[in-house]
Amino acid sequence: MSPYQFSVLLVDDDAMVRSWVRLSLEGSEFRLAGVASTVGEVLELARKRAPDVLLVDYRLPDGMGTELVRQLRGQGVTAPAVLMTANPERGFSEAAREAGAQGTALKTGSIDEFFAAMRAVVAGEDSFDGRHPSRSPGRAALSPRERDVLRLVAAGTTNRDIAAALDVSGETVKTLLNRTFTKLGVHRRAEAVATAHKLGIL
Amino acid sequence: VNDAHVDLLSHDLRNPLAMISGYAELLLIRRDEAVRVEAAEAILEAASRLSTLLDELVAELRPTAR
Repeated sequence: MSPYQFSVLLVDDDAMVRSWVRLSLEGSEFRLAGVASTVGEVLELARKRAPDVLLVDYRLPDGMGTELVRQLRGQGVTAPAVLMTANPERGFSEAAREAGAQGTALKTGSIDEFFAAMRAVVAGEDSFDGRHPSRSPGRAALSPRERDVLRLVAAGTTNRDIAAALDVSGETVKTLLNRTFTKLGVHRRAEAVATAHKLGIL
Repeated sequence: VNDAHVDLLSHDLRNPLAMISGYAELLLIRRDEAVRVEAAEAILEAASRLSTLLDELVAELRPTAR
């Protein structure tokens, strides 16, 4: 038995995955410090347990793992995070990095690969799984302002109300929206929201 | 069927598949009976989930269902 060194906060809504992670960690230098199945549960748990590493599923019932990591970073949680998904997803590693994660892992990978990713991030290194295809060329990251606009669009806010909410002119909103559309490769608001959800931006 | 549907379908199918391979790996490396039983049960459950999903998919794709 390796002596425990690192505490892990696991976020996954699938009980079968949670059990698999728990069993896989047994006898390693990692131990489960907490388990959550929704974004809502994690925000408090991460503060209380102060884990050494976060292991977060990409698709959660009440949001995307990328947004959860972004929120945790906003709350001052600095523990390295590994985002995991069962699917090789285009642009996943870039989206994870932009959200503040240090690594990505494929659930279809081996236990050794999981450990390699977790060991790398607790050692202060990045570990992004190369099996996630890179984002298409020209798809640059959204700026914080563009993400704000997109979030308001997703909430059904009109351009005029977006301008008021962000304290900018209507023209600025149009410019931010056009830039966002270009970066996401879409032409309409609904398309932008759907694509942003898919990419884990919202 | 659009890209988003295909992604979701792929995700739903790969999740139980990932668990089958993950728990099978545990069966190979762990000797304790309790863990082996839990792993075997999980593999059976994941296979059942996968089978249900495939049944639903086949039913949806069958031309007579449209």
